[in-house]
Amino acid sequence: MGDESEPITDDEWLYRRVPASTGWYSHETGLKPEAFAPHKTEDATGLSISRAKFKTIAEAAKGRPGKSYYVAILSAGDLQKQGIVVASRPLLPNDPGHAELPDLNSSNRKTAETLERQRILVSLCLRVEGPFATAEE
Amino acid sequence: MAVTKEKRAIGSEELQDVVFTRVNTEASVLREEGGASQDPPGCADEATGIRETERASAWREAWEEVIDHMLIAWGCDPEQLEDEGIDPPTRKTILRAIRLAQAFRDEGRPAPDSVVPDPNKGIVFERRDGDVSEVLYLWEDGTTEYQLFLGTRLVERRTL
Repeated sequence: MGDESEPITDDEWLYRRVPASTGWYSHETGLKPEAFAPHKTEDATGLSISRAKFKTIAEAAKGRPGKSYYVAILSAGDLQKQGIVVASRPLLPNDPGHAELPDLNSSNRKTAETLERQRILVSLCLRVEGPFATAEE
Repeated sequence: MAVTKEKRAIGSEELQDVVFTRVNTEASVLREEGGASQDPPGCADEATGIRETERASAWREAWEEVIDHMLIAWGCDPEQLEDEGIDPPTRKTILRAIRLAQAFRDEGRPAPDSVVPDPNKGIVFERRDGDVSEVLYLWEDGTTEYQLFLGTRLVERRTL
């Protein structure tokens, strides 16, 4: 496992968790831009993602008990090339691999730039794994 | 094609002239520029008529599927969409979406390829053909927007 204080490098993989119930991903129709839409209050500092250095895909997929999730996989280098900043934001002690995309956040969620960035992120998605079910408590 | 990011309110009649028709129009323009083949002379009208009837019927069925098995199902059980970082659409927004879908169905409009919630109580209808995407976005604040994307670029945006 890596050191959470290390900056994110271009060769890192990033994970974005996608709830299965939303229809934001299906094997037939692929990934939707809404999978990268900021929440109006919970993404105040940026859209949440995970650094693959710190968790497995299955760990990245864990969410609410009884629910299922997909994991979209992206390359940090691809995002940087498109001018999308990736910021390391560890949540210690439980989530040292937490990171954010500060350019997509609660306050700019309706702007043209954010709507376009969502589609850019869809185009940069390398693959989607899952679904993974989070065990009931 | 006009390229504008200017937001302006338009009347419902003007909306009905454009929504979910631009995909076919823009995609056809792109195909023509690429040198798409033509039907043989004499066959085009009848074949076109049959195709259009079948297409209209398929669109109507697809709208019914959206209304019955998606929107109404969400309305009956909104908790199915609840999750971390996701606020499901309200009953009010779902009703707006159902009315919109019924109107477009009855007008013979092309059906969307996808209808999904957004994380903030909104609902998004999208229709795609290649690089061209048309979106009807029902925001949680009651506004409805038409958005036209070319690839990842937002080239047109109107509040309805």
